Amino acid sequence: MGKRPDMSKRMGRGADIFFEDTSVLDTNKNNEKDTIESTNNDSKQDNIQNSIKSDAHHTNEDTTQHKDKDTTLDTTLDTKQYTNKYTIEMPDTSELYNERLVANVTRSQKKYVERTAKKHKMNNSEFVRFMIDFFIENFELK
Amino acid sequence: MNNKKDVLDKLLTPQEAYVRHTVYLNEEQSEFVKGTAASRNVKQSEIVRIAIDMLMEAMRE
Repeated sequence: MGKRPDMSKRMGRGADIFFEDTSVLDTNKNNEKDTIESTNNDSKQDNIQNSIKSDAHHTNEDTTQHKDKDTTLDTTLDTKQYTNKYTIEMPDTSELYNERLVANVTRSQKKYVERTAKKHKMNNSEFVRFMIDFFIENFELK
Repeated sequence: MNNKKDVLDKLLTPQEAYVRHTVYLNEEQSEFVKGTAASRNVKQSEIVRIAIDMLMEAMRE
């Protein structure tokens, strides 16, 4: 390998200044700055990104998801249950009792019906309906 | 003769006077009372009376 030619001699005085200014000092400074700044920036960005990620993650889990579970789902369940109750109870309340029956009963039986119905806070027909149901469920005519 | 007729009337007369009691049933209950009375050849009132007696006995009145 031959000796490398002196570029300042070949290119004149202006070239000396150019080569001196662009020598080791500038390069090192720039490199140091670049590395430090980039390191700082990277670390800052990492920290910021991590914090943003972790905050966002926690926010999603802790607030948004809990809201969904605690408010939206419960409300939906309550509404469904209420609807079910409403539809189940309606047939009982809307049942027609339009079959009129005039029965000859003894005075004591009539008094018993009136007294017991009053005791349980229902009208006479309501108690007789309960009585008929009781009779149907528990006794069999031979 | 009059004495015999009086005795027969007394025997045929129910021991306890009946009173009218109006009730309102649903269709199923009404069908049960009508069907049972028709199949047993008794009046519907008799079914109601039996039902009341059964319940009174069950509740020990």
